[in-house]
Amino acid sequence: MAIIQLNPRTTKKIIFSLIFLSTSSLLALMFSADNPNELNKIQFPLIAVNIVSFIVFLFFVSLSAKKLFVDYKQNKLGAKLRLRMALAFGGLAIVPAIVIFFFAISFMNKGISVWSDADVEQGLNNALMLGRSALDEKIQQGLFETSNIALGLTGIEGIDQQLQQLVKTSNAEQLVVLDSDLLVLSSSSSQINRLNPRIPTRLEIEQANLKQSWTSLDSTPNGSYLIRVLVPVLSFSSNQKPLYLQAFFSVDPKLSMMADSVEETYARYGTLSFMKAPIQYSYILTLAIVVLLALLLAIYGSIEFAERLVKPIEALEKQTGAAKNKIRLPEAKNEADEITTLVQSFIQAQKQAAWSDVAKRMAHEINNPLTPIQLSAERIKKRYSSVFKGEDLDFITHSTETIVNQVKVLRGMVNAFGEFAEEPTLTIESFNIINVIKESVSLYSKRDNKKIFKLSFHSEECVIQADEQKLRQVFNNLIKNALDATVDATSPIINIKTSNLKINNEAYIELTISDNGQGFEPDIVGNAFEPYVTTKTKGKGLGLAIAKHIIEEHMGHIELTNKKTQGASVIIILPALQPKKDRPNE
Amino acid sequence: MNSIKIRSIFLVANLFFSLSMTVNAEVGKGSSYLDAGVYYSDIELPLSFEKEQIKALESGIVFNLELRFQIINVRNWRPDRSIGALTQTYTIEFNAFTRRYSVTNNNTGWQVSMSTIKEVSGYLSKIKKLPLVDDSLLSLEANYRVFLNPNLRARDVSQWMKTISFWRESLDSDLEQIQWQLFN
Repeated sequence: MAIIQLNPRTTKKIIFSLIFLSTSSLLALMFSADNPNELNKIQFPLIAVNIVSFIVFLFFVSLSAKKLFVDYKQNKLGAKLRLRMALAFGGLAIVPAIVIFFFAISFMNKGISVWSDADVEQGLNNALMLGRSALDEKIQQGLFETSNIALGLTGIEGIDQQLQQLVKTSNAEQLVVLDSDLLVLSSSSSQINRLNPRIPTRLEIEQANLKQSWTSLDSTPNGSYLIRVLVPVLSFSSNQKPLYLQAFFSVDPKLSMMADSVEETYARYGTLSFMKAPIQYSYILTLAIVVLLALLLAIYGSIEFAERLVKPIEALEKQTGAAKNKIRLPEAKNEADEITTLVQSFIQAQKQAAWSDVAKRMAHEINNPLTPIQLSAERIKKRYSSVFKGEDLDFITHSTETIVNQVKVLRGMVNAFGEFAEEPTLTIESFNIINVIKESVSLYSKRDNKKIFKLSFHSEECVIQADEQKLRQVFNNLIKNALDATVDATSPIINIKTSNLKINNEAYIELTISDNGQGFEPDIVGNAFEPYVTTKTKGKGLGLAIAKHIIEEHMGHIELTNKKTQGASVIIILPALQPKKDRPNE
Repeated sequence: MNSIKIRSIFLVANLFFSLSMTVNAEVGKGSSYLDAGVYYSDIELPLSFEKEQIKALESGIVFNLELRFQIINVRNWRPDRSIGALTQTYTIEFNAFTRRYSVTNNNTGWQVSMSTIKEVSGYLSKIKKLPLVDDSLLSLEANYRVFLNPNLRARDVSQWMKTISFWRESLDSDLEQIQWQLFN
């Protein structure tokens, strides 16, 4: 599975930039949230920034999670522990974040619902009604005064003078006479800024005709209010067209100010009520993005943290030799995690180290006196063979030969100890492993023709990269063990089988040597690869330990089991290709 | 088989009928005339307020009606040339205290108030004597065409808020483009 690999430094830079960007935009959102209008203006770009951050974060988290998942699937060293830790840390962050998110939404909704509270709305409506009723009296006064003025108008001639005089004597700020086509015939104003008359609409003229009057309260751009009264002029007409008188009365500035304040509050309340749902969704979305960003950060952090935390354990595991047994068989996947493996391999490594140390010391301590013992025995034999005769000579000869033979046995043992203690240095070359197996088999077939070897190779040509001599040593040892195990069998059979294997997309060869001998004793099976564990009377107990040592140096795996029926099996799994560098340190 | 044919004919006829109705309903018109060296325009807009817009107005949200004029010299065999552009904006708001709608021409500052939204629509649908362009800037040989793009927008409501209110009718509406010859 292909995984996009990014430079960790670049990734870190991007992640920190995103955190900075998101935090800044969220702070800006937070400080602007006092004013929903202000929030509205900046929310879109800020949320866009956060959404972009979220997408980029999601990308990085997906990459990390995918890598972790692939590692886990491939049963890579430390992946299981990393996954567990990432899930634990992530879970620790996710659960409270979700709880906080839902509580925050609940509190926020409660807070926002106060905006459209029925009592508040009723209160504001009452305030408007109160303000309007305070002005009703003024409107009635204005209507009365305008009607009187209209009745007092004498005719179209000299209308300008009449209006100028009436503006001075009445409470009206402006008086306008206009016809049914909305054509202004005359107007007069007490204030310079009201010289331009406001023309009524046709509907208002129709209303004035219908009800004999029309009143309205108008707001002005400067926030003040004006009472407008429109009445028909009944005493005369112009060109047969009905005429109308429109009068403006100012409202007390204090009252205007209060009315304006009530209206503004009402409008603000109305706007907030109208926009309540979108504002609510907007807050929820913002909160969701914040929580999701925090969650992604937590997940990313947990994966990274788990990786860092597991790294030293992995290194320790590699050092203790667990990595040597790099091939994890599928059935072993769920049996133990890295910590268990680490502990086991640590113990194993300690044992191995202790045994190596003992072997080295023994080899050294035993080897030193062997030469003088042998030389002394040979000197005794040489010196006294001419002195003694008959029975005495036989005794001397037999005794010295025994000493020399036992010294040879001891020397062989010392060599075996030395071989076990020292780290094997491999000479890697490409060769056909089938030939090597066949050679080992033929070596022992000649010695004991009664034994029946059954060979089953997946191919006659299987070239691998390994140390040929070391593997030959392993095969010889295992075949010899099988032969020894089947000494007492009535019809001994030794099966040797090879097959191809694919583990984590890498090619391996599997070799199984099984016999129908007595099998391993149950208490031996578990630690048969440990040094000095043997059931043979003449064995040193180093053969399987050395074999394991060699196979693991080849990044391979060796295991032995007792067969269900009779006998034992030894399975060796070897990689077809040897890496150039030391694998555990990859 | 026959019933399928009849149904198909009925569907096609219905489609054409509804299309023609839509076109007729949304069509506006404009005309220009010269008065004292200035070209004025009379415009009829197919303006009507949607339910959600009226609700928003009555809730205190202010609307802007923007009329974007562009006078283009339409030329044969050559790219058209823009002579000038003009934007006329009207602000429409509802005063809860007076219970009246006020319409302010932002270019002149002229304000009128009306008691119903129908009056507002009627008032803004027929715009008379809107000064467009000075006669001295034009060439008599050229073929000028006026393009008007009217739109109604809720003021002070961010695009974000409009986007997130996706489930309800849009507060903004773009009216059909109107175009006419400057010279009669």
